[in-house]
Amino acid sequence: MSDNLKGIISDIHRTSVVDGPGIRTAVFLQGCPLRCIWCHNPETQQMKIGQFGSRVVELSEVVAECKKDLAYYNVSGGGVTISGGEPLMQPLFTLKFLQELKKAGIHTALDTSGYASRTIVEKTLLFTDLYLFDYKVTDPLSHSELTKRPLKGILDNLEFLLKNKASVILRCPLVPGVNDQEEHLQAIAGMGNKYPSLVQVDILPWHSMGNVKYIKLGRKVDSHLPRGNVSKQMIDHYRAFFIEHGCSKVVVRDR
Amino acid sequence: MAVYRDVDVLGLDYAKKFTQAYKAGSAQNKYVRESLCEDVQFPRVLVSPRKTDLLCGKRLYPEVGYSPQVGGMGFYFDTTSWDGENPVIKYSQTELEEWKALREFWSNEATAAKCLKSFSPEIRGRLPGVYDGGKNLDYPAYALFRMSGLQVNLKKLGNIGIGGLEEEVTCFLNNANDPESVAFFQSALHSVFRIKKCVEYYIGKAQELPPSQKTEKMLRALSGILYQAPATFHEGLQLVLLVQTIAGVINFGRLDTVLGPLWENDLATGRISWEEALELMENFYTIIEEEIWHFDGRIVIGGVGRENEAAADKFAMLAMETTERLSLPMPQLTLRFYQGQNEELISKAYDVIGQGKTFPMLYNDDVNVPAVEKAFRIDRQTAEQYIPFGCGEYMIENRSCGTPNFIINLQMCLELAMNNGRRIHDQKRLAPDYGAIANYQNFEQLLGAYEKTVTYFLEVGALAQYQIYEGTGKECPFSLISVLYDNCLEKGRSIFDGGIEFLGGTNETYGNNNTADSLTAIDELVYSQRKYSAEELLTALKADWQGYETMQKAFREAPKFGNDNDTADRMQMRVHDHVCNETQGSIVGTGLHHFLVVIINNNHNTLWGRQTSASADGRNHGDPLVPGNSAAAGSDRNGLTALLNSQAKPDPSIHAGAVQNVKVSSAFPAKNKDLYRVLFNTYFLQGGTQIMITTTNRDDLIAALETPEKYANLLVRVGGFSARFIDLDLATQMEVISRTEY
Ligand code: SF4
Repeated sequence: MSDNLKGIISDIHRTSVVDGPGIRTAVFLQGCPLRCIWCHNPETQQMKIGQFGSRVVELSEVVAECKKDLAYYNVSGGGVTISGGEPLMQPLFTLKFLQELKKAGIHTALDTSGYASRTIVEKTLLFTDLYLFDYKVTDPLSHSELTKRPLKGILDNLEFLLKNKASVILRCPLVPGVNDQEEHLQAIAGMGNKYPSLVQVDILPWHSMGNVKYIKLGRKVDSHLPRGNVSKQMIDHYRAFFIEHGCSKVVVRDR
Repeated sequence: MAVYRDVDVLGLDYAKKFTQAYKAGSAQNKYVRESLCEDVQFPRVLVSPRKTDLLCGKRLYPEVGYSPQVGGMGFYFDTTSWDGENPVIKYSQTELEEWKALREFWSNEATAAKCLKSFSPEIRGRLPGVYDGGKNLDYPAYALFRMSGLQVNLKKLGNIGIGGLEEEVTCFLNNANDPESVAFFQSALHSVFRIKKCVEYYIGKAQELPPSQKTEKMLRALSGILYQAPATFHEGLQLVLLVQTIAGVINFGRLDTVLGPLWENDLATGRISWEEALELMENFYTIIEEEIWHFDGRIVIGGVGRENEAAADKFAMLAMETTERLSLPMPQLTLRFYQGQNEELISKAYDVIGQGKTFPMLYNDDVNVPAVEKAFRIDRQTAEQYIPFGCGEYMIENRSCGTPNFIINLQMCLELAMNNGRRIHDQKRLAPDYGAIANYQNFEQLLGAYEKTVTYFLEVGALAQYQIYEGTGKECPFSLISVLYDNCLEKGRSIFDGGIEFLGGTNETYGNNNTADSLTAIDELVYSQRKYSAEELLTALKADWQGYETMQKAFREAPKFGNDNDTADRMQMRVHDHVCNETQGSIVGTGLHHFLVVIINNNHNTLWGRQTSASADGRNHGDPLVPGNSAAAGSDRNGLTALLNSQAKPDPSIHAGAVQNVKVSSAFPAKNKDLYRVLFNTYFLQGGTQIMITTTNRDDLIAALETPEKYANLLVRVGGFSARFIDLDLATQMEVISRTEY
């Protein structure tokens, strides 16, 4: 292992049960090229050190931390999820990290916005057991507006992965009044049929937990965002919609 | 909770009568004296059944009495709950004088007072503080006077019944030669007769109740056990409850082995239905909840070393079902399990815990049995009969007594070692002067001084424990308990007079993980990185961190136990190994079979925290100490697996129980039914010894502070016991809220 390979992380969550199958360790990498207005982790966007616990780490030390829960991964069908930010913003670190995890026999998941160069995405194929791939907005114009980056390359990467038989879970954050238009919901439902190799489609209703971070960062919470959490009725409505559209792969999470 | 002391419980005449019996008996010998006093107590202290009851077996503990623990140890006199000078009940001047005379008499005669007086000067010198129920824990160590951790042989009782006991004791009496044994057997026989007298008394009381189906069942069960061994589940339960009540024993041990076969038989013959059995169990649980304080009342189910496992398992399922239905903080249901045990048990346990019942607490026999074997220095078969009682101490069922009669505050020892034997916040001198942190050349010297300070107190720990046994043995035969303890009849000696097989004890240690975390922080920040000088640290601690907030933050952020961090965990193990080994080592020359550390918790961590100065783990003066083997509140930030990995590290084979509390958000088991099981199962496979799981949700706890009436059923685990959250004092409530929730 290149022992002194360094990366910037914002946090490590052990015993995560929300970042992929089984019991997992989620490693959050610092830095993201997108600026989604609903972002829950605004502190991870900029490649800065020292904020909210973001720090420089050596790869070997992160890998060692991940190995501590090997027994838990094995019994539960879990593993390690590399998340962010956008982990592919630190391509060398992420690739090496994935590789080391595979060497240790650990199941790997990559939580990505899909905004990265094809060459990098291609290289991850060999060491990634599961992609948690974001699908945020259907209309290209709105996508650019809401995330500050274009949709095209992201969709191309998704198609590339699926064509190459990667296991992909689509992750769709839904923010009422922002990206939950009928058109988008229909597109999500349509994804299941279009790509039979999709493992699952996760609907993640928005919650306001991230707001406090904006305040701490001295930033404003975007005025388009809803005031409170997604209501129970709204979640039921989403569920009903996907049942109606016969999409069995869709799982609507609770808040 | 037991209402064992009320304003003038049984009146002055009762107290005088008891005292007269004591005096008359003292003129003869301890056996006669006990019999005479017990005859005053029973059936007088028994509480009559209500018309809603199916079972009888409640007692009062009046101001003066005789008991192993509740009320006081042995012969006790206690009017602290009402001021004898100014009682609610109006006394004449003569009556007041009489109470005063009684108080004077008992201040010398109470067993605890006698034990205290007979302490060797060495003990008195090192333990000057008198434990007053934990109200003012001013010193680093105390001797405690009690005989908790008694577990009588209920299996034998169930197998042969009162009649069988009578026969057995008579047989021993007829064959006895030496006068001591004869006196013991006579008193033992009396104690068996006394059970019969109490059954008869309750039959009379049951007959006074308005006739109903319930009363009829109650009468049938009582009549059934008068001469013969219990033949039905109801009879078994009745006998167990009554004998425990009379003996004053407040933990139940492996009830599944006692009651399982009776329940199985009833079920097979169709004598009672599942619902009827549950009704009985609910009455049993309710009585326990009303009678026994929340630190005790353990019922153990499952585990290796049970004869009729299939039958026992049936009772285990019934017990868990009752826990699930009732939402009571009592009894403290405890499940022992091992690889290969009937899967239904652990599965049901996870279900019940997942619903926020805090019970059963889980104990991993695959780790604990070999650990007990080593720690107690006994064979495997004997170790299989280990019993967690009270707040989590282990003892060997009806062969040892696990009572912790010594408690020590390790964090206070550390502050003394840092400050010339003086406490930091008030400069009170409490230990020898082994130096001050500013004079130590390196970390090892500090650690050495800390260890010397701990050892200074531990050197009299086992001795105090032994002398309390000895003193109690001289005064109190506890004949009924002795009849139901292995070995006593065979040896012809009462339990603490040579009867018991393994005369051992335990040492409750507090602040273990504060000490470890403080030492880690000092090692890192003062000695390794030299970020702060020793003088600076001491000054900051003296100021309770006031004006040194940045420094406090740095000490708080140093590596902490509970994060699977090697530096912090290694230090924790060092502290653990030292205190465990020194404790066990202190038995040399005392006559104890074992003396082992228990890392448990009642609310001493909160009470002792009040007197413990600010500490180098970043804690403020007065804040609670870390409960049991947990991580300091809020310092476990690395996820549940990290905490569990840390907790599985300290060597389990050098102590007699350490409690591991975790708080899990109620959403976790609800949403991740399988993962939640897999998580804890993996912890146990990794060497986890035990766990106590509270499932709550933080919002509920906070809401319960505001509208307690809406949260009567909210149960939480406080170190070694479960409680209704709303019943806790504010400091403890805050302590619970501050713990990390996963
Ligand atoms: S991609 Fe994720 S981390 Fe990046 S801005 Fe969007 S929500 Fe935030």
